[in-house]
Amino acid sequence: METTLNEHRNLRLNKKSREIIMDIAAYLFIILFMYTAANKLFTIKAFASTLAKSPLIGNLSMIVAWTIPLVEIAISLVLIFPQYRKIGMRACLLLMSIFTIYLSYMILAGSKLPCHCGGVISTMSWKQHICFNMGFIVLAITGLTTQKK
Amino acid sequence: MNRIKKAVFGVLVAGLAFSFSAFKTTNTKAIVTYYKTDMSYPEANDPRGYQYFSSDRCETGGSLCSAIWDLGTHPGPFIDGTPLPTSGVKMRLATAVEGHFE
Repeated sequence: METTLNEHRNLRLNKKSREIIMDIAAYLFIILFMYTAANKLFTIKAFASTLAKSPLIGNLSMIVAWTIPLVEIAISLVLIFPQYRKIGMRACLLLMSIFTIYLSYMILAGSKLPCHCGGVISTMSWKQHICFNMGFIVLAITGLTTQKK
Repeated sequence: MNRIKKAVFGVLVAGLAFSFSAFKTTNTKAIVTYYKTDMSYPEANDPRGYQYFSSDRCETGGSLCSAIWDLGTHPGPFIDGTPLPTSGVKMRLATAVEGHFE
């Protein structure tokens, strides 16, 4: 009984470790979002034309092309401030989930897939892209879990 | 104080990521994606049969749709349909994209 309790205690992270995990997750999201946002903003026409090919976005391509990088920047700014990181991390989780659901739908629906995604992940296939997103979803969940009291 | 330090570090990380991406994106004007519109020249590294288009024109199915080319001293293309110069250009390694021109 005592052994089990000790093992359980060892598995629990102390406050400092939890803070470090949250910080690392936040900085990784900041890097990802700021990098991809800049890339999208500086190639906004090409990005919009890629989105225009999507059956789910179509005519809204220009609006979506501006909205995505601006939302990414906004989330990064929220993540900068430690007191708002939990909100920022939830927003990260939501955004990455939306991206992943969209990509999965495109693959499962057998839609005419554009070949380019843009940004840091432009060299990835759509399936690799989903795996990449899943990694960041796990990261966001890990970050949020460490903040649970 | 700890929070201020973390926020300052966050600003630094964000600024670096944004500016690195901006620099990389704007500093690659001589590196351009061209689309293989004429499959009479099926080799990816053959500069013949390529044309420039500002938007994504690839569709799935097919062995070659586009590739990224280093234009060297040639000026960047500005008009859709501009053919790739056949000399003084170099295809960037492993940048050929499968599919076909629409």
